[in-house]
Amino acid sequence: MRFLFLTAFVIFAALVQNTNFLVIAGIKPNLVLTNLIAASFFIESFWFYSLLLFFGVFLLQNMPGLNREILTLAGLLLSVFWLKKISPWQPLAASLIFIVGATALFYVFGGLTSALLPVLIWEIIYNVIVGAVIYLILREICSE
Amino acid sequence: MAVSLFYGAYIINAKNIFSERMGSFFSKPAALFSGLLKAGKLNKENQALRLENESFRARIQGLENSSDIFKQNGKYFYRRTDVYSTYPFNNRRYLTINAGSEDGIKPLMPVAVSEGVVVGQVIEVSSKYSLVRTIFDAGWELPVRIGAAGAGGLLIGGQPPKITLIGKDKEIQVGQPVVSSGINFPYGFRFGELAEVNEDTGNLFKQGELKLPYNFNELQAVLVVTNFP
Repeated sequence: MRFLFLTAFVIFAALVQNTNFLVIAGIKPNLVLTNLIAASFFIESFWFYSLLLFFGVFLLQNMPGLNREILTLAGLLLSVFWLKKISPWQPLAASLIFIVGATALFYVFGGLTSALLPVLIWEIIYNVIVGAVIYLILREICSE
Repeated sequence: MAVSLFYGAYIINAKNIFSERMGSFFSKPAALFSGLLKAGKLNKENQALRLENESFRARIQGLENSSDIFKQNGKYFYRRTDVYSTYPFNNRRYLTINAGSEDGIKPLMPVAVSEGVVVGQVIEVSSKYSLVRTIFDAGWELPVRIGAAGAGGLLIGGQPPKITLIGKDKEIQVGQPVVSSGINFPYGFRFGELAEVNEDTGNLFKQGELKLPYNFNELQAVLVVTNFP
């Protein structure tokens, strides 16, 4: 049941990220990033996590084929799955720290310019808020 | 890999359609909430703009009933298409539209939000949908002219787009139109208007920001110029 819920949650997040529903002042949260980082703390199976990752990034694709942003996002999220095993922090704090780091690195490897710096800062703030909410929801669901 | 990409096209097309429907569904309560918040701040200019938009929509709707293709001043042909989805990331570099090679769309065709107001250019075309690069792409540089005197400048993509390399001796004012003067778009097509001119004495040139006559996050349909270049 938990697996079904997590899968549906990731797919829904990816679809919503393709719309402008959660855009505030022109900033859209990276729901796939926040969702998968939060979910990584409740998933032990690397293959199940990879499956969720595949659904998430595939549904962000606008055209067939792979682009730099999608590959960067996938690489960062895979790295988080392994790094969380050695993180010294409490899971919620670790989740938020990884969200900040992954968002920043996503822009750096995706080609950050000075014009996007204000956008990056606001997106980090937005992602942290969304990530905290998602983590708390998943903690309630997955602890049952 | 080739097989997955082949089938990926159909799945991505279905995803784009579903996202567009879902976006429309969620946009209604969001628009209601937003409208309530803004009710106290409406002014005459907004009302005049809305009336103007309504007249344009009525004209477009009437033309849609007969054909998806129509002319502007007998010179350019436009094709109205829906915006499938906006870019899932915040750099807003791309739009996906639901017209492709089967509809006569080709790479490098300009894309407008209304007649003569440009938002981007088609860069990739599939059979049923196309990818549009917008003026928010930080890597894009376009020659422009400002105002009636035609002061030259360079539009740099970003959020918001900026205009640089404006000669210090050029007389420019906030509110003047910024129009295309390069080969990417029909000459004179409008990007927006000049906002916030920076005349820092340390720079050799003036700089300005571009103010857009539309809300990018609310775009649901665009016009593709089908007889350019």
